[in-house]
Order: sequence, then C-alpha cells, then structure tokens
Amino acid sequence: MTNLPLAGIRVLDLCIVLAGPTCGRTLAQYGAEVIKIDPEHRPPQLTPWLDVGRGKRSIALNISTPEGLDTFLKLVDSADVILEGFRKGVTDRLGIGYEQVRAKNPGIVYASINCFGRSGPWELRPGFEQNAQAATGVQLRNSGGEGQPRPATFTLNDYGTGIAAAYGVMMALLEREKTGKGQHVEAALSHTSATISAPYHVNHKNYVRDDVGGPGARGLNALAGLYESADNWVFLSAFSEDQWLKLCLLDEFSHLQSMEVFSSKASRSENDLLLREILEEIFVTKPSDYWVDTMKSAQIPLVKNTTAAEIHEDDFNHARGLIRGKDYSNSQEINSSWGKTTWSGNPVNMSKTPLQDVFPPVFGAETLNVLKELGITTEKIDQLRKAGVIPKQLPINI
Amino acid sequence: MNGVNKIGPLTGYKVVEFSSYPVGSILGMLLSDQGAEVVRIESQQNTPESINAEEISVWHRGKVSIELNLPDKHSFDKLFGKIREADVLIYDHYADCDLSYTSLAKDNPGLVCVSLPGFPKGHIYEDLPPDEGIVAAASGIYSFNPSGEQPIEGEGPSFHALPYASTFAAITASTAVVAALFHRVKHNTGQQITVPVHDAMYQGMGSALVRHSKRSHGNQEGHPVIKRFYRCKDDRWINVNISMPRFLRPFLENIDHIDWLEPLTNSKALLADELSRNQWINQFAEIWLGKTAIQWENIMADLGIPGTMCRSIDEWLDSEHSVAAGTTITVEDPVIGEMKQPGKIVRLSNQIENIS
Repeated sequence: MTNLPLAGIRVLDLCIVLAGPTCGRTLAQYGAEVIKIDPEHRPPQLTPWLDVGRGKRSIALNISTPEGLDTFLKLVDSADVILEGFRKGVTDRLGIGYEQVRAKNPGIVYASINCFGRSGPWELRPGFEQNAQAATGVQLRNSGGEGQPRPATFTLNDYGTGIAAAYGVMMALLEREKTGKGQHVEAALSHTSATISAPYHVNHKNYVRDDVGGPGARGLNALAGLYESADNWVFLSAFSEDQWLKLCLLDEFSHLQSMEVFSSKASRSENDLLLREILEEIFVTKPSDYWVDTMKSAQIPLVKNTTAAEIHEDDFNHARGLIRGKDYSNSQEINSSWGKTTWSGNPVNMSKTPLQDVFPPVFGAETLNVLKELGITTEKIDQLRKAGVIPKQLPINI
Repeated sequence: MNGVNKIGPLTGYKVVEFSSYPVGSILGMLLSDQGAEVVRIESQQNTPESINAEEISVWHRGKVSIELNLPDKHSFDKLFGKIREADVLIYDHYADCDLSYTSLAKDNPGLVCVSLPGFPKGHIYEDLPPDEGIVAAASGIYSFNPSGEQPIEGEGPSFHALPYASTFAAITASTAVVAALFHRVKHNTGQQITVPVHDAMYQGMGSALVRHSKRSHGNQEGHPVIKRFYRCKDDRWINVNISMPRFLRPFLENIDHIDWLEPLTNSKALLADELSRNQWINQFAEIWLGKTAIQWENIMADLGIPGTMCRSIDEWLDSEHSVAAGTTITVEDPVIGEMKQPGKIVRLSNQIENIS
C-alpha cells in the first residue's frame, strides 16, 4: 500500500522479547518494510511472535559469524532504520554500533531499546519488564507496601517502550527530510515507567506522598472507584460537584444529600472511607446492568467491569477489529500447527493513510528472497548454509 | 507558563491542545518535550476536576496556556485563529463546535486533527468521556492479575492508580501524529486521526490476548521452582529473572551450586514430583536470605543477570542512576517551585536537552 506514511522505508529489526519487536511491528503497521533478523539457534517463541512479530519479513541469519555480519552490513547499505535491544556495548563489539553503521550510512536512524537507558551507573545492566517495575516503585506500590511486592497486571512498559521507540524513529525520519542526516534514538523501559507513573514520579519540598495501591485498592476515592454489584463489579466516576448532585437525585442515594459529612467536596474527601462503605452497601443490592442503565439515564459515568473472557466474547471487539486473528489449521504452509489464532488489533484510525493489517510471518521464510535481493548467488547461499550462517532447512516451524 | 527553551525534532511545529482529560494533556506533553510549541487552551468547559497540581505541572510542562471565555464569540475567534496557524490540533469532544479535520480543512488543509475519545463510535459507552478509570474498567484491564486472566481469589478486580490507559493511548497517538506530519511532507495534506483510549488498551494488553493451538488462555506459566521475588537478609525484596539457563548457570556458579543446574532445568521432572519441587522451592529461597537485596543486586549486575531490588518511588527518584540517566529530572515550576519529574520518554541524539 504505497499511500502508507512509511512506504519505502526499510527497517532492520534485531530485537527480541517484546519492547523492540513492538517498535518493528508499529513501523510495519505504518507501512515500513521490516526485515526481522534472528539466528536459528535462538528461534522466537510463538506467543509473542503472533503479537509483535507481525508485519515483518523474517530471515534466519547468524550475524555473530563473519559471513553473517558481512551479509547484515550489505543490508545496512539499503536500510533507513536499525532497531537493536542489546546491552550497551554489544553492537560495538559486533561491529554494528551506531557510529560504525553511520560511517557506512550517514542517514541511518538507529534505535537502541533497553531497560535502564544508555547512560548512568546502570547503563550496562540487563533488565526486562519486571526489573523496570521493581526499580521505579511500581511493585512496592502494588503491594501497598506490605508483604511480597506485586508486579503490574500487564507488561505495560514493554509495549509502551516499543511504541515510544517508534515515535522516536518516526521523528528522526521526519527530521531527516530537512537535514538529510540520521541520528541515534534511545528508549528504555525505565523511562516509560517514569512517564506512566507521572502522578507519583514527582517530589518537591511541600509534597505529601499519598500513593494509592495494594490488593485492596478500589479507586482513587469513593466517587472514582470499583464497586461490587449483585452479580459483578462496576466502576463509578462521579467526583465533580455536578455529578454528585445528579447522584443524590437517584432514589438509592438521595439520603446522602442531607448528610452534613458529605455536604461539600472537602467534607466528602475527609469522610471518604465512610462514603465508600455506604456506597458499597448500596451497589451490592442490584446487578450491574441496572446500575449501567440507571447511571446512563442520570448522565453519570459508570461502566461494568469487563472480564478477560468477555473481551474475547464481545462481538463489538471482533467487528471493530480490536481482536483479530486467522485460522491456520488448513494452511498448506508449515504454520498449520498454529491452529486458530487471535491477537490484538490496531487502535489508530487515520483518514488519509489508514494503517495496514499485519500478519505473523513464518520464521525464516524470507531468508532466501532477501539474500537473492542482495545479489548473493546460489553458490554463495549454499556456502552460507554449510557454514551455519543460515539454516540448512527453511522455513522453520515455531 | 513554564519556560520554553528546547530544540528537538518537532521544533517549528505548532500544536493547539484543547483537551479536558489527561490523555490529551499527556499527548501534548509528549509533543512539547520533543520541541513542539504547544498552546494549551484553558476554558471553563475544559477545566479538569480530577487532576492535581503535580499532574498539571508534569503534563502541562513546556506549554503556553491561553485562557478563553468560551462559548463567547470573541473567544471562539481567538481559538480558530490559533487553529488556522497550527500544524496539530488535539481535542476532546466539544459540544459547541466541530473540531474535526473535515470542518477545519477549508481554512487549514495541512492541519492534523487528533481526537482522543474514551470509546469508539458504536460502542455502548460511546457517550462517556475518556476518564481513566471508566476506560480501564470497560476495557478489562482491572480484571487481570499479575499472572493471569482471573482476579486472585478473594481479591476482586485489581485497581491500579497509574493512568495507564490514558498514557498508553497518548503514546500510541504520538506515532500517528508524526506519521501524519511525515506524510504531509510528501503529500501536502493533513488528516483526521482518532485513537479511542479504550481501543488503545488492546495493544496494551498485547500477548494476553494471543491465542493459538497450544494456548487457550492468557495465563502466564512460570518456572516450577524459580520465582520472581525473593526476600533477602534485610527483609527487602529482589525481583529476579534467572530461570533461563544463560542466567541461571552463572548465578549457580557464583553461589557454588552448579550441581543444581541439571535438576533446576528439568521442568518435566520438577512438575511430576510435588515433594521434590517444594523442597527445591524452599532450598532456593533460603539462598537469598544470605545477603541483603542491594548486595544481590550488585552481584547480579556484575554477572550480567537481571536482578533488581524492589524500590520505593522515593528511593528511585533519589537514586544516582535515575538522575544520571535522565529518567528523573529537576524542573522549576512557576507555582510549585523546584520539583522532580519524569524525564522524556524517548531521546534523540540531535536534541538539545532542556525541559522547564
């Protein structure tokens, strides 16, 4: 689709796990040609492959061998972007660090994605999602400060970092249109965690820390939180004065308006625990659908708390493309073993350049095509096979 | 207004931010941090009630604020005047005027209009605002627990106080904004971007939504013996990721127990024998009680193994690394004074660093 914003941009993706590959997938969704490079001895795992491996041309190439490195450097000549997620220093030792690549290709946009950034005492430390959470206070906060720390319920930093890296890469490409020059882009799980944690990632001399967390946490306050209904849970958001007054017009809540302890925003805040207890007793008396309908009529924001099973069962999610997938059971290719698959869809709507749907490749399926496009002869390809630079058998099932 | 003195890849681009919810403010911050000139429109209609002074300071940093008395006609003229000169408009639904690209393109065909509703059109909640908790609950993210698809028994849904949905949607939208500007360079036209916050969460849930022939649910399966958290000698906890042989081997060598490598990498045998598995679990946990969390963290750093003490946010803010790496910065807020804030989410080498 040549109308896509990144049509004509070539990306070399050396990343593994989630954050870096998310960047590659995002760039592919915007139209870039993304060549995903993995060695045969470290094949990707199927679950993340179906998620963040999508939209890429997969080649199995061992760049830690001299011939593999040479092949990679041939690709660098035609690349616009390189994505790497190695510990700092590894790419330099391999001969493909930013300065080394820039010497060959001054327009290259080179994105380095890691856990703790590329400067500071921890610049060489390895880390994954949970390490970033542990360092930045997320896990202690989630435990309420007691007992074993608890991770966040999602790999929030991995995906956020991957997409932030794509943001950085695209800005670098935009700037390159003016300057003709590439640059180095840095994204890190801990930087992303800090941004997501912004309400708490602050301090000043008059600051009083009051972090909300722990397994019993239900909301920011009594009027912005989860409540158990007769059959499920709902989330109420009624903290504005206008919404409070509307709430008090409803039969079940009308007695609250005359209670002095709730007469102002300040007094409701002071008596937040009492208000929560009263609201808990009210909400548990009726089912979620009743509350959704009642609050909708009253123009007070309230939703049913969706469960994981409901996410997959919701026809709207499928119709809208938020849950996508493909049944590979009858595929004639090696990936028939994947069976019926699902993955998350793309949430971005653009009126002139709609993003493209992207699908998971078979591991290594594009190896020979890419090598031939580089002008590598059949004879040479056989030599690469014999030397273990590329697999003897292609493609490879994962 | 905070002082603005930054050069970045978005220097020269003008953004108008007319948003009443965090998602729009966070997107404005992401663009401002990269050099864009962001004008935030303040009016009674879009005064947020739910954000505090610290959030305002972070999310509004680097922006110019203009107060307008909407829906007064003179104020509308000023608003549209700003939009005519802008490259990007960030907006929520505003009942008194149409701020979509279709409506504004006649006066500014290169404009990139970004709408960040809570829910997409046709959704049962489409009339609800992009309130963080509302979107988070409706999208399902409160229903997961740290290792699976069901709330932990007896606990109910897991509320988290971080504005994850809003921030994730803003980061997602930032890529679309730049993609649109990149497209505009070649094709000389703006466009409409819509990123419902609810929809963005599906990419945020990521692999939890993946299904295939060998995966019928979104629960994570960890190592049968090696856990993520260990209590250390000083009662602090460390988070480790050492179940993979490439990390486990050097760790076991360090503690003079390389003989444990074979049994600990034989998951099949461990899963088959509950008694033996529990013995291993206890034995492995005992090791960590021999040193403090920081001692273990430093040992693992030297070995190149992922291991991080579980810190409080204040310990992190004060840490040498978070400051040196730019994850924590110090800014001079005109109201609050000197304060620590998160640094930029992404850095480009040609940027000049200076947020204020």
